[in-house]
Amino acid sequence: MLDPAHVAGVGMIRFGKYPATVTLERMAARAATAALADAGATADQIDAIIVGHVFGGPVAGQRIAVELGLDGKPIANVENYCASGATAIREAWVALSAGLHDVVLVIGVEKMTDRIFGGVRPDPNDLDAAVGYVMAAGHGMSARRYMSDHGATRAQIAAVAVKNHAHSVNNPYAQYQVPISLEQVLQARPIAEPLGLLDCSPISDGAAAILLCNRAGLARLGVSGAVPRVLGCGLVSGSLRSGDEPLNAEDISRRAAQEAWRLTGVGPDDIDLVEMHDCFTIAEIVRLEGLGLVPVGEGARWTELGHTGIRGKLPVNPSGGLLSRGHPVGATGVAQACELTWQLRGTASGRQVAGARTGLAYCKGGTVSGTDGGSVTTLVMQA
Amino acid sequence: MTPSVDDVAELEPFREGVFDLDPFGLRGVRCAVGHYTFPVRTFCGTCKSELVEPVPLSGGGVLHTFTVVRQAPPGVSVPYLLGYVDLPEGCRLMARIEPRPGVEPAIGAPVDLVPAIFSDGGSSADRLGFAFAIRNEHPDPKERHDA
Repeated sequence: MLDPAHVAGVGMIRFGKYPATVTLERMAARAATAALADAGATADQIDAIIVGHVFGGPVAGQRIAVELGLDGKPIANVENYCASGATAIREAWVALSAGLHDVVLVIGVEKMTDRIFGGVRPDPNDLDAAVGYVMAAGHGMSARRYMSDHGATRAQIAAVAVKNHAHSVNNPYAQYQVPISLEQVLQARPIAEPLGLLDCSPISDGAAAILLCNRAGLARLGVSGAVPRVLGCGLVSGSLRSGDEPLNAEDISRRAAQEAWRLTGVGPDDIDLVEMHDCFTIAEIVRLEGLGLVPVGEGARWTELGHTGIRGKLPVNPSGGLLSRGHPVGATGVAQACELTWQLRGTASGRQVAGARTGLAYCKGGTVSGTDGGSVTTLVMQA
Repeated sequence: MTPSVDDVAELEPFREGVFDLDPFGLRGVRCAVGHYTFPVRTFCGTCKSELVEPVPLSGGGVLHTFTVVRQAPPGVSVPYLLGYVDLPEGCRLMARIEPRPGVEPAIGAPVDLVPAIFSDGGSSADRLGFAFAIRNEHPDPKERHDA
């Protein structure tokens, strides 16, 4: 088993809509500076920078590093669509465990509101994109089939949005910090039926950063005492599916969970809270089921009963998730790691999950025609 | 309305090798075990065998699930129906679904392959593509006459 990576510091900016004058580089530098301040570290103590982004253009990481005075360091740009930030964390964990670097700054960043309109879709070369696929459509089809297969109601699926918005009332970094009602979700403008506007995560700008170390790095930074650790991060890609299995089989999530348990020695019963990639309401439900954390077909009912609330038996998205924290796609995986860090430190104030010791963060990025997804990451962190 | 093959024969296919024109039908491959794969690949999508042969796929299928897309990026006109169609060979594929007036789309509805025009709203030329139309199981004699 690889050694864990230790969290020296985290930082992020509030997700939301920033004017075009607030550049990607500026947002990323602000998040990185906050992470350094949180760690009590300085830029010259960093060995390498890994940046997750999708729409940031060529060498965005190098443009950001120059803003931070980190020019000349090894820099890698990582793209795995919405799992880009989480994949960047995985790459840092591997490099630290191997001893290649001792202190790595990971940044997830995205500037979307000035370049993405009407939603995100696969690359135009993808066959599904050519026939008219947009991400919301996939989840609309998933929701309709889930309701038909499991007798779930539209309101039970909408309850995911109500819950996650209620959580982020206490998250100062969230794009939305006001509660919404079930009626508001059900009455919202339809986007991809049966899903409406409030079933969809927003198009957002934002940045998040995490400073990770191995033991030598902790000594360099003078960090003493216990800090949250990245035990490991699973990564799988979508596999070609045959037509005779359920649409919501979520085999990709099942395989990603297996990877998480294999890499970390942690099991599903150890998980105290989940940061889940709820790009759409239904996605939170089927992915929890695919991970094996909720029985198949029960996720919608669990949500309605409050089992996935902050005080429920499996707290999911205390941050508000993508639905309410916002979803600047490349930043999301790092923002999830920030949230897990605060939860495991016990400093999440009004959204703190009591007794949080082990957390799982799940990201899913992109789609590929004929498969059950693009990439899925399963990050396991422990106090 | 659904164009006939003759109406669209002058259009370039949106992609090479996805369908045949005469007769109009999707192309796939079949492996020695009998698994079918769409679109054509050099291997079987189920068992990864490289012993595959090209085959025409059925023109009829069943709607597995669907959505009405009401918001999309610029260049895509909304609303439109999008669905997953299960072919009898065991393939599930994504396609535009052409509605039939007076028939509510439903999971399990029979659908038939039809040629379709793929347009990006005018920034490049229209292309020939495919869709599935909801089958009229109880044809109205008048509609049959019009056709």
